[in-house]
Amino acid sequence: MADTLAAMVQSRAKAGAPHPTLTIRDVGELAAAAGVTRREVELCALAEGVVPRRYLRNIGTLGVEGQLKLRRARVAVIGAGGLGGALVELLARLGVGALVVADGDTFTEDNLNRQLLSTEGTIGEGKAAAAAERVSRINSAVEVLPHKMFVDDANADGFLLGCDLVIDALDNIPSRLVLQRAAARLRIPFIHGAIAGFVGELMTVFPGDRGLEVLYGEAAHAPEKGIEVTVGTPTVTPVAVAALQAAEAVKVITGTGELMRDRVLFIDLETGSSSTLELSPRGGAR
Amino acid sequence: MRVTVQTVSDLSHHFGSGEFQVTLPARSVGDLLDHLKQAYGFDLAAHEHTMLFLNGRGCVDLSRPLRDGDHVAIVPILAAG
Repeated sequence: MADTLAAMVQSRAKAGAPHPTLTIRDVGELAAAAGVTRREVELCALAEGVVPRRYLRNIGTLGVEGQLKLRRARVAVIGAGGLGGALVELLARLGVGALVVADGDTFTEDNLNRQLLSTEGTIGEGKAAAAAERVSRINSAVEVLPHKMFVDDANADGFLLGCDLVIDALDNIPSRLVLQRAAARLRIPFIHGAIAGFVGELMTVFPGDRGLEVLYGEAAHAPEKGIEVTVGTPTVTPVAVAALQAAEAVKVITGTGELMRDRVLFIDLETGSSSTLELSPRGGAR
Repeated sequence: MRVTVQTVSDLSHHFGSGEFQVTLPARSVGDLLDHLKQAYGFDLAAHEHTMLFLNGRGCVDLSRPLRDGDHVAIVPILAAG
């Protein structure tokens, strides 16, 4: 079957330099003809060195092998608000294979300033479902598993099972700690992002790293909210931090670049500055 | 002794820099905070949702002794998504 699909891909591929390519229409028709998903067609194509045109501008940076790794990956985006909405958009365009999106919330008017999945027409509708709808319009070869649920200790493992990466797009510290614990239990890398006002932060936590427990303190003593209580959540900051998280996701999945482990990157969009806080891997407040 | 102080975003405005060195006879983290209050008008107690780190570890005990070369960071707590 794989040989047959490979032969079908090769016969349909358009000659091109440096890579032969497939159009969206080619992928759809091959999937229908072979009785497989669009994602399976794209996986087969990339393995054959044939690049779906939609990823052509990624290849110079990611390489065909990097794109193939992204297409194979299953990523959980937990929270589909300001960070999560932008992450879903970016990961779908990057060509991540499957997205698990969990958010129990529905859109309200005060989400419209920053949450890319919200529109005037979707006020009152679920955020996770909106993510699935958006991805289907951007990249129909990405599988989406939406969950209209808030993450907690009881359900977190169920969301994350089988994922290669977890991205923290939540809006409160206790839930972020719950998510990090679940990711550690399942041995899945975890990418943290948070914002308030014009300031954002980024950190990548691998299983065994203490991560958020160093940053925020142990769960029992960690605060719930931060300075967003007074400075709010303006339009630009979540999109900027989501882009940093997505870049970190690419590096984790493709095994390239430098990761933000045991350190927190702070960006300040008001001053155009950034700084890195080095954390002690041993962690804990004292 | 000489310690490095790192701050982020609005907190930096008090000091004119996000990272600077302080030379002082301070013996504890609390002594350093007293110095920052007197020299720069920065009162940590007035900044809710702020965390203090000593050499990369959260610091809640202000009596902790400081040593030459220590790194103290004062950063905002961010939690929104």
